[in-house]
Amino acid sequence: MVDRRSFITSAVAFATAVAVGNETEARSKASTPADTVLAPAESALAIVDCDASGCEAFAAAARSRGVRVLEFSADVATLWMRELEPRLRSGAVVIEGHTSAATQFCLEFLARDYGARLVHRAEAAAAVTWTLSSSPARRAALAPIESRRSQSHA
Amino acid sequence: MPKPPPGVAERDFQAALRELESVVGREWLFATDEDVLLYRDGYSPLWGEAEERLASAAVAPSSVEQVQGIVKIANQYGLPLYPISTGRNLTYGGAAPAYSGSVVVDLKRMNRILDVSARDKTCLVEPGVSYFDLYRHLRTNKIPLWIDTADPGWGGLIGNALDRGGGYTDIEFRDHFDAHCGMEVVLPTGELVRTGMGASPQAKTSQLFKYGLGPWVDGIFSQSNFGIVTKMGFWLMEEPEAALQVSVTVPKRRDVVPLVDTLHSLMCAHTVPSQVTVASPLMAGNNAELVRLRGSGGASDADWDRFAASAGGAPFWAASFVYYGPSKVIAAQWEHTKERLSSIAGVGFRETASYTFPLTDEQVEAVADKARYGIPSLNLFGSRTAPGAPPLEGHIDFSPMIPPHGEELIALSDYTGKVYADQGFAPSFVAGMMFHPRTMICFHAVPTFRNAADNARTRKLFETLVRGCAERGWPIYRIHPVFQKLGMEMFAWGNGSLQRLHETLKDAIDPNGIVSPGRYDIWPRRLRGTRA
Repeated sequence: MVDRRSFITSAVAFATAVAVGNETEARSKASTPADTVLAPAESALAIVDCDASGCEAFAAAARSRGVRVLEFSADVATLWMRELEPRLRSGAVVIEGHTSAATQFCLEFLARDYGARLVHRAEAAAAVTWTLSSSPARRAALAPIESRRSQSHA
Repeated sequence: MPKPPPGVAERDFQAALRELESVVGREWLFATDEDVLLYRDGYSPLWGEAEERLASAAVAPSSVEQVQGIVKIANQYGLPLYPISTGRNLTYGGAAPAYSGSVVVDLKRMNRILDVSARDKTCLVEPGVSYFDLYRHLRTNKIPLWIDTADPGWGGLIGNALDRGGGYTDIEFRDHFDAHCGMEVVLPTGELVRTGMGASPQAKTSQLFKYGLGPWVDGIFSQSNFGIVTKMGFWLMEEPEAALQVSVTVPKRRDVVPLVDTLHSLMCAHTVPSQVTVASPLMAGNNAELVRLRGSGGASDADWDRFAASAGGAPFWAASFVYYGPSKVIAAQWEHTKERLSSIAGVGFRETASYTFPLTDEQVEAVADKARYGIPSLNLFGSRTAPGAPPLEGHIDFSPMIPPHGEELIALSDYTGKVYADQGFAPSFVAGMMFHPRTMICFHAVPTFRNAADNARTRKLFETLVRGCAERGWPIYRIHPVFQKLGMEMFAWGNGSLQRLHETLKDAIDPNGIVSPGRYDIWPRRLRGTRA
């Protein structure tokens, strides 16, 4: 099992550099796409911005590997609330995406609250392909550990 | 390893960290570079420089009792704390502290929605509750209430309210601090207080009546460092029957004067309920003639109108806003609005969207301007990848406030356009946003960089704008921590009497000076004069 420290020294070193800005340096140290191809598993999913060029090919490739594909258009907020945040909250997950750079930026920022880090990022024409990966051993500095919401009081 | 706070010995710092760990548990104390860097301000105008504001550690409590425990330890060791709710407002400093060496108190684990009353249209939340969280809670439970969300919507209700942020729906809700009702605060001494009616233990009106009995103190906890807010109540908007979003356009530059005067009047009469944005679509972009006119600082109306004509006769200004309520009432309000504005030659009216509520999930997704309907969104980030946009490393907001007068909007745009141009920057797009009916906030994006030379230019630009606008009667309403000292200098009437009052309060409420030293340039006695 990946422990907290070894995770930090690998993926997180890259993710932190991206999150705080040294993206060029980070990319040079990042894993290659081949390292991060997802296996079909309950803990893997792919998201695709239908407005991004190359979205069909990315979605088809993910489906061919047995990865569940979630589609959205431009604004990822609803997908975050409905699918991604609950998945991250419930445990380790690997999410790959083919989106705008803006969406990748937002999801990387949000997902780090749940211990997930960017482990792969590649730019294509007007789109970015990326992978976020969380670790069960890793709790992020900003992360709530579990849902503590009360029932509706309406 | 992160450095200890100034004035705290390494041995004491390590002892304090061990005690903090005993309060929150090992998993929730963060003191390695890798973890603490997550709290760095990615858009810092001091990026990589010795003065950059960096945390020494972070601690994430899950309860009020843990917050009190943290405060107790901080008092014992003289440890500066910097509480954040979600820390996601990147243009105002993100999660980074105002004072380097502070321990960030990350309240995101305190994320309980404690109460929602559909009958009273109120909620009570902890600081970690985001707009996403509350929106999802209301929608999942089919509670017919709206939040008023900041845009982008990934922030938290309490943090945004305490920073006096704003949204887009009805005036009762979009001034986020004004929309709160009752708070619970851990004072720097560790004592817990509840404000308003909440101070009366059996009160049934804690989220209904703000003032309670005696002095109303809630205001001192906004844009300040007098305590750690652990709960706040908010008023929520009843879902309306319908909404109509409209656009009003006028053809000439000077038409903005009657346009804004009339909209201001209609807002004060509650005919126009929503936030109103007045912008010039013609002034967006990097057309060479546009850049020349904006940089001139005083092109005539005739020059601008010629420019507008050359752009195909597009209207010079557009105002956008929304009506909420019963369809029949909306129709009457819109008709009245058109009558009031019809005296402006060439005025155009357009209905841009209309909705009947509740919306299905598919309809929600199709809403183009989600924040205007209480739907949190991340659409605003789309501009980061607009075709042809220059590489953007980051930006901070410069946000002067002006009276709701079109001539002031023109004068501000002339002035700031020239300042940007004179200092070698492309002028920022300027819009007048009437979050409050009696003022306009005019956000300007000021770019930040990852190199000291360019950031020095940015800081000079920002300082020029702050000082120049204040001299012209347009002080800012909110400011990035790096510039809070500068900002407060613009509020120095009476030989700085307001700052002395802040300091008097600070000394009384926080005698050891542990909560957010330097925030809005309020320094505890032990650090006064260092202005680190």
